[in-house]
Amino acid sequence: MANTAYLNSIIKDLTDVLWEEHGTGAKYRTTLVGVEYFVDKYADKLTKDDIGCTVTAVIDILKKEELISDATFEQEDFVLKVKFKSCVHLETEKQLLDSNIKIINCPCANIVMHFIDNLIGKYSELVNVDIDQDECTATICMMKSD
Amino acid sequence: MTDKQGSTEIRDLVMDIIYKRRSVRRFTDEPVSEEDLKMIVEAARWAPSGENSQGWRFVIIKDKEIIKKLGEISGYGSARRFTGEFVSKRLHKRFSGLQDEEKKKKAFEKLMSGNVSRFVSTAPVVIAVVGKKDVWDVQLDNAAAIENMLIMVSALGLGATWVIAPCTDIRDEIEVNKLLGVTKDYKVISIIPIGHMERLPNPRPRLELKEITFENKMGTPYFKE
Repeated sequence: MANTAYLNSIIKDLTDVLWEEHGTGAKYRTTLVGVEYFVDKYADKLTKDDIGCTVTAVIDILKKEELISDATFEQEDFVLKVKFKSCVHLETEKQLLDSNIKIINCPCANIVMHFIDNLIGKYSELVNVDIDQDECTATICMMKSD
Repeated sequence: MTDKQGSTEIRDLVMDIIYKRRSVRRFTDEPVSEEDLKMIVEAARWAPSGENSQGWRFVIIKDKEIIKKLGEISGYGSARRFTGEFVSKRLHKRFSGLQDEEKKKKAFEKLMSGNVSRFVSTAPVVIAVVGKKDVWDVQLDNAAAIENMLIMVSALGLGATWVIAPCTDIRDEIEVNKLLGVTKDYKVISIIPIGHMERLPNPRPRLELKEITFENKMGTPYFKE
């Protein structure tokens, strides 16, 4: 495995660059970051289902790829909260907060949103990411597509 | 330089056109003339750009189906963004000055519905501004072109709005690029729905000059009043 700390610092620096250039709008330029890898590898293995099954399936592939150790989620109306445990990107997010930069991007949340959008037919939006020690919670809202 | 450039008459005229520029979202059925459309893109053509790269292209859209689809993408782009801002409470902060709870609720509903951008589908013509990627700053160059267009729209007595909703999120931008046949070397920057306005909307509030201009360094206002 490559030096994860180094790779995380690179992601932090790139996020910083986007933040400097686009401000809050940077978030919207990064909604597909990390998605292509999973689409190439898993898109044909995930099938159209309900939101719960889709999120569970995505969590399983995130675990299989060793990006997280585990995750739980809860849904209330159109708001979905996914709590990722020991995410490989956690260090990036902590570095961003230390540098006073908003966490504008969560690759794991992007993957969850991509499959919700494409399999369930929603339009999803990352609201925010909250960090608590070795866990981060991505709050996602899901719009109807009709 | 024309013989009138620098005159009080021209200064006041230009300022009046700038003052009267609004974001217009309600149009009549009257079509925009070819002459007017040409003047609008001609104004854009004369905008400044880094290294005079002129990395802007303009897709003039009158096809009702394409305009309708742009309205849909704009609508759900806005709805998604504002719903996210509602959940994060960012909207509440933005409207904290509004005391009337009923008005606030209506404003939230309007923003979350996406209608603030879905109006695009009602425009008789939309100009999509498409930027060449291989320039020093595709966004800055095209922003200058767009502002020239909006000033000309105002000068012609027409209405328009600078709409970024279908281009803000990369997921939507990809869809618009496909819809408009934008090739990999280019990207859609914004869309400008244009038409004859139903009425001139009231101006939005502006910060005072003393709040936004400083003397030598940020901090000391340049203008005291």
